[in-house]
Amino acid sequence: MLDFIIKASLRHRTLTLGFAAFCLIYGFILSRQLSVDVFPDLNRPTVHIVTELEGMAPEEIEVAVSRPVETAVNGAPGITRVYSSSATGISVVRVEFEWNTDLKSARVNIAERLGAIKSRLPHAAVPTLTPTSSIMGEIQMIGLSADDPSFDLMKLRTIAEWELRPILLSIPGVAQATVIGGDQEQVQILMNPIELQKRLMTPKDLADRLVNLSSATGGGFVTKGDKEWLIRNIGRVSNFEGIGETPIGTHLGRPILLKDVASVQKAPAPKRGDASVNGRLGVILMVQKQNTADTLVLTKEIDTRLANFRKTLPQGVSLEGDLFKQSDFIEAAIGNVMEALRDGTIIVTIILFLFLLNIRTTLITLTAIPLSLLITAIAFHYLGIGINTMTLGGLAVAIGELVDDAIVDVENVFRRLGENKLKDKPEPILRVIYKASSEVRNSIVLATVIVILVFVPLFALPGLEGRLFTPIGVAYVISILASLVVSITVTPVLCYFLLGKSKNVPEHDTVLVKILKNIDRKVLNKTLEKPLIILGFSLILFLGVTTLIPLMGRDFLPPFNEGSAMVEASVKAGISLEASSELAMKIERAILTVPEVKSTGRRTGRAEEDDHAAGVNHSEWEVALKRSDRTREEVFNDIRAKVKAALPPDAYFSLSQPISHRLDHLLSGVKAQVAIKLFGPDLRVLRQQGAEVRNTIAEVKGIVDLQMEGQSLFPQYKIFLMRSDLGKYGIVPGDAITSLELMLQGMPVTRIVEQDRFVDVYVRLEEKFRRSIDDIKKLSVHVLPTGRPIRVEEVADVFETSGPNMIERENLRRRIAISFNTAGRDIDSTVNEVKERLAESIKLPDGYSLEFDGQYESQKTAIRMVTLLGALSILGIFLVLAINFRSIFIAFQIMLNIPLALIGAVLAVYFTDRTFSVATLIAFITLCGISSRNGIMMISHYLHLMKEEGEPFSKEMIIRGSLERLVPVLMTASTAMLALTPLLFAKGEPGKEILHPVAVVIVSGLLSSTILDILVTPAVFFRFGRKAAERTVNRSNDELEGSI
Amino acid sequence: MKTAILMTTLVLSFTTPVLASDDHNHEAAVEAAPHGGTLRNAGDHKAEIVIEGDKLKLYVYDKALKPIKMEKAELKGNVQFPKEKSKPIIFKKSGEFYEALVKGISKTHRYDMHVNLEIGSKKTLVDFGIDNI
Repeated sequence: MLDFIIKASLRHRTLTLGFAAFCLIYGFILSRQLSVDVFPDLNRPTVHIVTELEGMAPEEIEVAVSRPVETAVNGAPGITRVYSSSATGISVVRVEFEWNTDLKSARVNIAERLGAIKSRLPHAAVPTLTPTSSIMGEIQMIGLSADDPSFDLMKLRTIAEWELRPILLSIPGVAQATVIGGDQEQVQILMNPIELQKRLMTPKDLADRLVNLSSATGGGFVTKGDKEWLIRNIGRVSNFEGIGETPIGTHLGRPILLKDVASVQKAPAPKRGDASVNGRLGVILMVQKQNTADTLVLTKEIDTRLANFRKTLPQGVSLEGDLFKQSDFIEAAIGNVMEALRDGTIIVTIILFLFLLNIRTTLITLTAIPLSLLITAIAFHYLGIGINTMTLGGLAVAIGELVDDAIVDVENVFRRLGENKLKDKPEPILRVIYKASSEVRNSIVLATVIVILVFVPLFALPGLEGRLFTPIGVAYVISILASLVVSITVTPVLCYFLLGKSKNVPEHDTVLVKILKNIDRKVLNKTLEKPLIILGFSLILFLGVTTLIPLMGRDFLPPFNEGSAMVEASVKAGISLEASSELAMKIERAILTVPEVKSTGRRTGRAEEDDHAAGVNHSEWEVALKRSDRTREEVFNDIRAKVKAALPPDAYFSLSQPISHRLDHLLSGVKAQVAIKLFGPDLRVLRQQGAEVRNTIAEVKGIVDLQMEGQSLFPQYKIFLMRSDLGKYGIVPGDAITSLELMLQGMPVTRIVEQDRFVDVYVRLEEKFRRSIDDIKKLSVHVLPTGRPIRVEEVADVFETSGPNMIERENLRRRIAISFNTAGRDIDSTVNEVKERLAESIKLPDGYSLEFDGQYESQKTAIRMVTLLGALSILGIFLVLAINFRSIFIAFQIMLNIPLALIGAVLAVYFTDRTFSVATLIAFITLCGISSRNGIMMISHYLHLMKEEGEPFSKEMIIRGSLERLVPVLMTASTAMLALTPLLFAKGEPGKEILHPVAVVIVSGLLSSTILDILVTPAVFFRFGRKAAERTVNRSNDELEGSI
Repeated sequence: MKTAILMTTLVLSFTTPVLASDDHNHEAAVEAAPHGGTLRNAGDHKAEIVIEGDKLKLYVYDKALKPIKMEKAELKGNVQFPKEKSKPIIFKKSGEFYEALVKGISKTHRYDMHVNLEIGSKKTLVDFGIDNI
């Protein structure tokens, strides 16, 4: 089959080159159209359902909204987990589906189920599915602020919400633009309870009469003759000044106007979130993209629209378009990886030229790089894969190997043409090229099959880890396969055109090759005599480095360098929004004193309709940084110190980076390695048992960052209606509750249209009547027919207490989580000890249970899967080699290269980062494939010499074979190594964070494998391989033959 | 004189808690407690009440939430239910904490509890506002 392809390509040379040219052009065009993003699509199909009920406590939200919504959606096809968070005024239910679930049909299913329970939810509760996006979908943060601090924040919010937001939402690809900060304009009808009482009215009576405050209806048609007139009944309020004149009923025959019982004003709406820009109060818009949108293209479009919008802003209002921009990191990262690709290509060119000292051979070999890359781009297009740091990383790792197949082919053709020249009766050029290509095609294909086999475990990596890392493998394998195709089609044809008729085909080796061969000959003469010493030395080295493995740390991903920072801070729950915002401003001003800080955007609490249910005690800052001489660590330490000094001592804060922070959320939901989730019905028992779990494991060696998640308590006043007291006055509890809600929280009664925007009209009690709990106790909750008001304290027990600020539920059960990381001890033994201690000390009440979860669990599953498939893959490689060479010994001998490579790789990791991450694991996988190649090439050639040239199994044959294979072995190894040097010296540069450890492992592993391979393979083969080699040669005499 | 002191002590021990419960002016318990219960300030110390149904456990700490050794075998106090007379309560020492059992206490919607602590030579009153809603 392969011989046929080589033969057909050489026969149809013009067609082959034409097809290659087509691939180049088509691939180039398609590569420009591939979507560009920071990471591959990591979104597990998830639907968020947000329901807002202003002012309601988490306990009420949980009962009234979260539980009915969870119950309704649970059981929809493909659901894996249902989470809910109930906080003050908001319920967020997160429904996770199996990977590969169609999100559109999942959303339809959820929407249908929500429709069915609408009547069971509170009247004001409207569950909303948030637009399809993800945490990684937050692509840009835009800030609006005024130079003059007295600028009306209501005006600023109106500009953001009614002018800028519609522009952003109209851009194709934008899923959502969340607005936070400033003041939302509201028409407020502030009731006076004394005036209401005088007219025997309750707050509820007033609210009922205001429902149709501003409305319009249709009146049908009036027809006269052949004409008709449409009738409109208009009762709409067009300006708020007229609202006070609205008649709301009569008392003792006299009309009552709204202004008699209430004052009407335009004022800021109550809010649960605030924002600032560069230390000034302002409004922030967070733009989320749709899943399929190209971040770079979309950001460019947003910037264009922002530039136009900026011109329309009132004087003194400034717009910051890049408080956070994901595209900045993408551009820097992609640019850096492209730079690594470019530098790698230049280095490969130099290496090739140094070895071959021939422009034509260098040119033929180099053709493999663009051709393989652009064929990969075509494959990407049809497989729906985009450009991101992972796929580009796969290509960057492969760049040195893309020329390997071509090198092996060109080197062999080049040498055979040279030999042919020296013959008395030279063979036809085409036949020489065919035979030379056919001679090496076996080892080329075998090496490629092994490279693919070693990547099989990576493709099976489950969950998000798989989503993140599989694209590296996909890009690598596709490009390597493309290079194989190029090496057996285009390379032989180019050899014919560029080398066939060339007079420059050398009859002798170049100077560099001569020197290398002389050294190798001397080394071989010594090592072939002492194979056991060589083998023993290698074994000691290998065993030595394996002892270093337990000394190294483990991490999921190397840290990114995003060029920006993210600060989060939480103070004790119970702080008011105003106080929290003031404290946040102080912190922001402190952050701004760090010289590298370019801009800051701060959010405190949450925005309306935001699925991030943060309390008002929580603030986060996106900090854009500019480059300086200081390292990232120095700048971060500076920020950390400033924030710490500005915060109260019992506050919590963390400093991370925006994209890493979002990735952490995506990976596990909790940032810790291990989470112990405690489930049960009673919050108090959960809190108490959670504390006992925390106390039990606190002293376990290796545990750090131990904390109990959420459920911190915040102060509450509870107005508990006493039914026996209500009964005395004949008050229906529901009426009393509605009156209390109306007076204290307020209710939207209608909306009025002003110009082209809607303004909510709220009814609430005038503030002077509800300033303190004592005022509230004296409020009238009901008016008896005699005119006697019934005060709150007469029918209710009013007391101060505390309650949870957030209630978390998972799969329909309440839960709290106790999380921790490990340090100085391996995670497995730490978790085992934790499990033992809990089994000894914790006796959970009936109905309560605990589960282990967190990154550790997913990593454990991933590592178990990779280990299992890794073992299968090694078995697969062994079988492929054994079947191909028809010898178990030869298969073993080739696989000996893997531990040889691991020696250098483990040593390098130990002396650099001293940390194993998933990136390192991938590098080890890659290394197994690449290092096997050297052994295959060397041993195939020994067998070729015995079969084709009748050489006996002798020391001379081993030396000859080794020397003839020295050049391709050194060339392939040095190109693969040196192509990665741009990544080797780029630790921490944007986009290269994951690739740097990959480069460290591959370069060092290849170095040790190549050096040791030159010593070990010939010596071991010479000492132990005679029988296997002779048996293989005798069994497959026709293995390498072919003709044209 | 002795009778006067005794009478004053008795009157104070009953009236002070009642007055306190009327005002509810103690701070809300928002600090994370070592055993997940309700934590309150008690002079120079802190006390935590952990409720397990009708069983109440009382822990006493210093300001840094380190457990302190208490010598007394029992602690006295009272429980005040809304719109009812207060009832006495006795906590008995049980290892590192004090324990009391009040039948039916978990069924009421809320209650205030006042416990007299004697730490060394200092006497302190600690108030807990507990609700079961």
